[in-house]
Amino acid sequence: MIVCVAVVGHNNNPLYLQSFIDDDNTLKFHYIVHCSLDVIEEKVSNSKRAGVNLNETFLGLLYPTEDYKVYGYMSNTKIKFVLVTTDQDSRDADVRNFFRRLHAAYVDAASNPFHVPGKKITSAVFAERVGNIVKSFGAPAPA
Amino acid sequence: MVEDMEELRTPPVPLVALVGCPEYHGAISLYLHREQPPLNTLALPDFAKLPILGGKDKKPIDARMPPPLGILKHDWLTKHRTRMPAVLAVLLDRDHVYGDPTQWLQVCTHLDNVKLVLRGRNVKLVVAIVQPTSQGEINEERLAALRKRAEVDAKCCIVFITHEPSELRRSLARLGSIMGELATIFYREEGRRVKLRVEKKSYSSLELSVRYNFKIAVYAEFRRDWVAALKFYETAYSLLQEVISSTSMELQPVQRVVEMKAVAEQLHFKISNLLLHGGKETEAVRWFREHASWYKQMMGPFEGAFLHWAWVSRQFQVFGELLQNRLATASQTPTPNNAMRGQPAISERELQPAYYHHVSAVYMVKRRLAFQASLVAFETFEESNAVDVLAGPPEEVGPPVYVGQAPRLLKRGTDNHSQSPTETEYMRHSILLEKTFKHSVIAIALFKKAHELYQLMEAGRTCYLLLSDMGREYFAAKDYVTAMRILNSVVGIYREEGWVVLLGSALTYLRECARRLGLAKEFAVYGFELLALPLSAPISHGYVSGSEVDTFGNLERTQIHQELVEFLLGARNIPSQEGESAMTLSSALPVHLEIDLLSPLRTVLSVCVAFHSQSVRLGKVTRLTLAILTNLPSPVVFDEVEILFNQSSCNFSTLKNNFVEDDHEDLGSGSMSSLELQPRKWKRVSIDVIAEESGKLECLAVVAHFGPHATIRCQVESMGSREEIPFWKSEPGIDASPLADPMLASLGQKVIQVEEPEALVDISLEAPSPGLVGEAFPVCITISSAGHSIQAGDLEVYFAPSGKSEGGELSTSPTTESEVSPAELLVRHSGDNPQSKDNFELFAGLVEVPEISTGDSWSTVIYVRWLEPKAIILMATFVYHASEEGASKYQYRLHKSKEFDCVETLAIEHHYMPPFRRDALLLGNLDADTTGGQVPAATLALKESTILVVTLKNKSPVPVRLFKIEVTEEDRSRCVVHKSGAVLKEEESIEPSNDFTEGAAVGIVVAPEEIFTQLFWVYPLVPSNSLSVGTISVLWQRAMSSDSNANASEATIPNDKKAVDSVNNQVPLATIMVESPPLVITLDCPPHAVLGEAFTMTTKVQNMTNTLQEVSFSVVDTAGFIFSGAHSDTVSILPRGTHFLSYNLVPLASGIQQLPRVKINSAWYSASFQPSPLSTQIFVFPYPRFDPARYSSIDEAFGSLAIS
Repeated sequence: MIVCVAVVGHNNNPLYLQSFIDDDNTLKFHYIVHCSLDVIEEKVSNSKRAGVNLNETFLGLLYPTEDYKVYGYMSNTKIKFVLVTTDQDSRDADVRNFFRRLHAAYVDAASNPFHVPGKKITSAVFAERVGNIVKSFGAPAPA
Repeated sequence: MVEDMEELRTPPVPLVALVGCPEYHGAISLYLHREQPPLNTLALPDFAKLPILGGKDKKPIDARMPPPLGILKHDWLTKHRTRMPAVLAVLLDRDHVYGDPTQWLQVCTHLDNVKLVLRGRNVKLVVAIVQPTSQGEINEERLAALRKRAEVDAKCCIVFITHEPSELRRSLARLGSIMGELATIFYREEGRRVKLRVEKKSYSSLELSVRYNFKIAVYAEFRRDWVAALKFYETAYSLLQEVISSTSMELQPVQRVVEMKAVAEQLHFKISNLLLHGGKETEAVRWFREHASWYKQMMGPFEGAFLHWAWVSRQFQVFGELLQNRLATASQTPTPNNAMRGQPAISERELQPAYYHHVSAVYMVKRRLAFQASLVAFETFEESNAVDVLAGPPEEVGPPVYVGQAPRLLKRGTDNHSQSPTETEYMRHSILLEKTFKHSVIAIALFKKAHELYQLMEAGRTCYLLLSDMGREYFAAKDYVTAMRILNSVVGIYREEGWVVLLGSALTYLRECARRLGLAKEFAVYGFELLALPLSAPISHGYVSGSEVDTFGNLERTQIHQELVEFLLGARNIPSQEGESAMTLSSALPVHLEIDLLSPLRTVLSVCVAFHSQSVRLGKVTRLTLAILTNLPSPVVFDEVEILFNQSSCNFSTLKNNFVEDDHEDLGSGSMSSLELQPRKWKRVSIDVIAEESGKLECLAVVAHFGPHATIRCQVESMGSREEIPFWKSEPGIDASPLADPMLASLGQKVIQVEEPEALVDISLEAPSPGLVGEAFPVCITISSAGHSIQAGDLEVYFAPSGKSEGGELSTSPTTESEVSPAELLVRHSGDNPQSKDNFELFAGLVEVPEISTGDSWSTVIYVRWLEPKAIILMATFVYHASEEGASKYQYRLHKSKEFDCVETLAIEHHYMPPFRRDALLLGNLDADTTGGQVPAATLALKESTILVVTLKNKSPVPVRLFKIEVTEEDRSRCVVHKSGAVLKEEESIEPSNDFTEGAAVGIVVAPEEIFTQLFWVYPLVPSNSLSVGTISVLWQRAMSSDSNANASEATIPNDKKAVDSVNNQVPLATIMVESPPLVITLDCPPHAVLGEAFTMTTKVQNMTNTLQEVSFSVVDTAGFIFSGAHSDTVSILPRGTHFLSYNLVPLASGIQQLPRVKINSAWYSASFQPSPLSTQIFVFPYPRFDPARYSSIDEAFGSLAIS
């Protein structure tokens, strides 16, 4: 089950962070997402050093916490997407698909003329769309 | 538990025992220990100690047996490591074995004893006959008897020779190898025995399966069969899981849960250790992950939760340490191995020990929280006089029989069941034991360790997380100072990267720390920053440390805000740390907050200001508009607002002054001393400022007062150059501009230039037309009062080269021009120094101006003398104090500049000419074209007069009066010059200086562009190649005609000769060549002729040399005359002689007529001469009306001719 989805801007500032469990303790997700930026940086610099997968946006499993697994994805514009899930082993394809759809949703939200680039995403439509993507996570992709 | 772990940490080493001949035990033990694989030795000095090897009698396994009381025997492993040898070596003295029957009997008794002790057990026996000397015979029969007695085969009965080192070494090797071999056999057989038991399933309890598998694994380890050991440990581990799954952990007593997990821990420890030593890090991590997640849920009863978290924390800590040790020794760092399909991937983080230390620390915190909860319940229900029986004296409390169980109470009975403590006793003991445990210290140590390791990995944000956790733990441990220090180091990154929620959490703790430490200022700072955070959703305090600090929602914000404001107003005390007095603001404890442009508190209060104009006159009113913004969640009211300037006289305070403009109309004009700010809404107010000093007036800061003891000083910034607050840029901000006026909002500055007051005075710089180089050019400076009566003032006059050169082109090299000043400023001498050559002296630059009353004026004249024709800008700066009432305190300043052009006045040229109709043959000129009759300036004839023609041209646009033109000879003995002509004769006698005194206008006025010519006779006395003739000096003056008075500029200058002084221009004459001519030819002819009347024309050829000269001549006929004389001839002229060629001519036509031209050729010099046509013309008067004798001059004659 997905418990948290976050979009982080290219200055490592949070643009969107939503938890999907009924727990008043969203702070820990902030910490988890913030720390995951370390791993994203490591992965990006490592892959650069290795000279492979330069165009790979999906970063795979970033790190596990005691209760969660954290996956990452980085767009070409250095927008990071972070997924926190309780599933101990998710299929890579599912996660990739999830990120692809999240990325598309972000692109649409960022294309909104009323959205100021670099500012938090406050669009309700985006939130709703993310909610739908989260709900359909793991389900077979719509034809 | 920890010491058990130590025992498990190292692989077990086979144990052997020695008995008899104790003198060799040391050497043998040492040798066996160094053996590969090593053997531990249990040395028994004599046979009496044998019984300690004895084990208990083994009961056969029965399926009907009840399940055992525990899973693993507590001391089983210890027993096998230290007391149960695999092999027993009996050392017998050779003398005893082969000695007399008594000794033999003794040996037999010993062997019987040994066999008795080892009966029923599989311990191998080795008999070694120690042979200290080389002497002595071997009794084969006795040896066979010995083998039979000891029931060992020949291989196990060895001779141990000690008398020689090499033999001893060989013997030791033999003993070592046989003992190692037997030990392996022993452990294999033991393992097989237990395995057989497992396979036969002759029992019903799973617990025994766990135990047996554990034993098989340990035996495998004894014989270094790691693969088998791992396999059986894993089996034991999974069997234990089955045991646990079969019951519900929640319903089990705490003791049972603790035991299960202790066994699981031990098994897992062995598995991890074996995997890591085998280099299978990813496998170990995978195992650990399974282990941790499976057992994490096995919390057991609630009251024992802290024991569970202690256990989980220890799992992570121990695994972290194992991994760290492994990585320290591993040659290469492991990489996540994703190749194994179907297995969850291992991330890089999981291969880092730091991760495990961190999680361990987190569980340590959980342990503390769980314990605190348990402690409350315990203290509520616990009777006060209960005794912790488990903490009794050592003789009453025995060690547990099984791994993970509680100590036994020995007084309770004899069997295990009755000796184990009750659940209540156990919990009481655990809680009391836990009470002494320093949770925070351990947790902080773990956080620190993880922090260090993460720092090495350069995982910055994770480090900040660890610091946050550490800070919270310090807070929990009531070390508020350290907590504040650590959390303060964390907030920067969250501010920078815009993680509001994380910053809010840290600030909540910081504020709480400040409150408990009684730090009023910090309390206010953190409170304000927390309140001003752009929080869109409520945040909770912290996920680790529990409920020490309240959550932070909108309601809490309002409360905190109110509390903070009331505290700052002095209306509320803030309860501080327990036992200390509450925090109150007073004059002894004021709070002054400083907000600069980089302060995070700018979200609390930011002010930008704009002056309405860019500059203002001193003493005049200017308007300043302030826009104030706060992000605090509730409206805030300041009692007093001060606005500070760099000129303190301008400072503004709402207590003393009123705002002149306010964007809120509802504020009455009376109660203006307080200022209310609405959240996230610009407040705009304007004030009027009167600057008292000239220069820069800058608005520095706004100081807002809360009550009598609290102030916030906020630096202001210019409206125009306003920068966004560097924090929370990604949060939705306020788009509104601080000012409605877009012009002011985009250009307004916090600095205004205060200019000096307007000077009511005029300065005029007046001068005639362009200046002339060399003259003292008068510039009249007039200061006239136009409203101010001037008390005293200073006039400063200076000049600068103009940017334009004379020709009007921009100068290309200003640097070189500036090196040489093109002009100088002069003033006229005071009258008492008339002897001075020059009437002027250099101007000092400053003139004191006397009092000038309103309407009056004062003027002075400054002279400019140009050295080169270049335009200059003359500048005059007048500084004065006015004597008017009110205006006297200011200094007024007025500046005026004017450009003046300058031109060259006279162009002076000169050239030499030979006298009329007298030519000298100059050999230097032979090559030159002499037909023009003009002798080049370069060569003059020696001791012949030559004419010097000096031409002056007035290039300036003004007429110039010439006083004197003269040539000053360089050396009268070499060359003599005298003036010729009648024109200047009369003025030659008049000195120009005398002119001035008489005031008569003398000299010659040369109009612009007019040319004036003056002739001189030059008479060289010595031949020379380079003769300096002298210098032409021209004395002149600007002509001051009365006609030019119409010129306005001249009207201001008194038309006085003194105003303009004469100028002496001096031009050196070019050097000349002087040579003596060999021939001089002179044409002698009357000045005019009359038609029909004969006259004589003589050409005189003078031989100037001392030799005979041959000269040929020829005459060119002309139509105007008939003449008599030789047409052509060659004559010889005697040295110093003169030859005359005379012709009688009769004019045939009147008017200008060309005379016949005589061409002379010198054979010696091969030079010919023909006079120029111009010099051989003559005017022929018509006959008879003209009588030339009646006239004295030719002009008169011409005049009469014209009349007639």
